[in-house]
Amino acid sequence: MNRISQKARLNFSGRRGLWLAAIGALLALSGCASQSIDNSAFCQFNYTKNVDEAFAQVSNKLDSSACHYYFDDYMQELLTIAKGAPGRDNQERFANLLRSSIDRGVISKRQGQEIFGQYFDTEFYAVKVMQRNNCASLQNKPAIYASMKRELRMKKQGLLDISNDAQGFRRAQSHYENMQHVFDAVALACTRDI
Amino acid sequence: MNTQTLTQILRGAAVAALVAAQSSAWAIQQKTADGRPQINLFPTSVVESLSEASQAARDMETDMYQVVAELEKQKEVYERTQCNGSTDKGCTQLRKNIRRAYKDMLDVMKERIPTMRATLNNTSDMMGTRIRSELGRKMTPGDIQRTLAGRATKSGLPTVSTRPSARQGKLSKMFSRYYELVRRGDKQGQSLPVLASQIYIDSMESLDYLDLIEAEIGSQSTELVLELEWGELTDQLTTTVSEVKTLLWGEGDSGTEILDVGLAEETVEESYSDLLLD
Repeated sequence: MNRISQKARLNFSGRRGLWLAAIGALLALSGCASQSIDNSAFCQFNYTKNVDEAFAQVSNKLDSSACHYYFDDYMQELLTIAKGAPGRDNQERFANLLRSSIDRGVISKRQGQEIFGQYFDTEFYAVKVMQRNNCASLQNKPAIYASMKRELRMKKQGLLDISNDAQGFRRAQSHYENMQHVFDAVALACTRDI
Repeated sequence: MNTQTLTQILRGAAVAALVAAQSSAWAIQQKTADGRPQINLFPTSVVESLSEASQAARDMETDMYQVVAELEKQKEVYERTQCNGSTDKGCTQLRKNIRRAYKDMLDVMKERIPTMRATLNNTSDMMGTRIRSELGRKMTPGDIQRTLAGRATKSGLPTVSTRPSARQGKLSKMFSRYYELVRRGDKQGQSLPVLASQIYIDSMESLDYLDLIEAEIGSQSTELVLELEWGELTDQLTTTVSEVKTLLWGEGDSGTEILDVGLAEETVEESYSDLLLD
C-alpha cells in the first residue's frame, strides 16, 4: 500500500513537473514573442527629413543589440534622406556612423570599409580586394566589369547625390574608364599568343 | 661623305642618345618605394619601335596624300556634275580618271602595306609582351588602380587621365605623339599603363584596318578595275577609299585628348584612411 501510494505520489509529482515545464515554456514563448514585438517596434525607423535627426535616431537604435539586424535597412534609409540635403558633411556623418557601428560590433571593420569604399571612395573597392595577378583575375572580366559598374552607381549616390562632390565623382568615372581600358589591353595581351 | 649623309648620322646618334637617356630615367622612376612590383613598360626597344612606326606611317602618308586628294577631287566633280548613270563622253572620261587614281592608290598601298604591317606588328608584339609581363603577371588589378590613382610610389602628384574611345587622327601623328609622350614620361608616370594600353590597342586596330584594306585590294585585280571603265563606280571602291582614309587620317584630331593623359591633378583624402582599403 505504502509502495502504491508512494508510486502514485511519484506519478503525480512527475505529471505536475511536466505541466509546470509546459506552462513555463508557454510563458517563455509568449514572453519572447512580446519582447520581439517590442523590439520590432523600437527598432523601426521613424522617417524624418532632418539628416542629423535621422543619424541620431539610427545611432540610438543601434545601441540596442536587438536592432543590429536592421543595420542594412537603416543604411538605405540614411542614404535616401542624405540625398535630400547633399553636402560634404554627409560623408563625415556616414564615416562616424560606420566607425561607431564597428566599435559596437554591429558590423566588422571589413564591412565598414566595404560600405564606405563603395559609396565614398573615388577608387573601386571591388578592384582593391582582388588578390590574384591580372592575367588570372581578368579571366573573369565580365564579372569584374559588372561589379565595377554596380559600384560606380553607388559612387554616384555617395559622391555626387549625397556629398555633392562632382570632382570626386568625375575622378571615379575616370578611374572606371581608364581601368577598363588597361584591363582590356592586359586581358588581350594575356590571351594572345605573342 | 657628303653633308647630307653626315647630318643623317648625327641625327641618328642624337636620337639613340636621347632614347638611352630616357630609358634609364624610366628605370629609375619606376622603382617603387613601398616594395611593390617595379614595372618597366617602355624599354629602349619599345621606344625605338614607336619611332619606327611613326616614320613608316609618315612615309606611307606622304605617298598617299597626293593620290587620295586627286581621287577625292575627281569623285566630287563626278557627283557634282551628276554623272551617275550617264553615258556622256565627259562622264566616261571622269570615271576613267577616277579608276586610274584608284588604281594608283591601290598600287601605293600594295607597296607600303608590308613595311607598315611589319612595323605595327613589331610595336604591338613588343607592347603586348611588356603589358603581359609587367602588368599582367607582376600586378594585381588593385596595383593598377593604385598606379592610375598615383598612389603606387607614395610620391609626386597623383593624376587623372582621359582615354580616347577609339583610334582617331592621323596615323603618323598618333605614333609620333606616343613617342613624344613616352620620351617625356616623367610628368605622367601614373598614366603609363593607360598609355601602354592605348598604344597596344591602337596598333592592333591599325593592323585590323590594314587587314581590311589588304583584303579589299586582293579582291580587286588591276584588270578588273580597268575593265570596268564603262560601268558605274562601285561601292567597293568607295568603301576601300574610306577605310584608307580612316587608317591614315582618322575621323578627327585627338591630339588634345591624348595629351591630357596625366596632366590633371587630384587631391588625396586622408581623413578616412581607417575606412579605406589600400
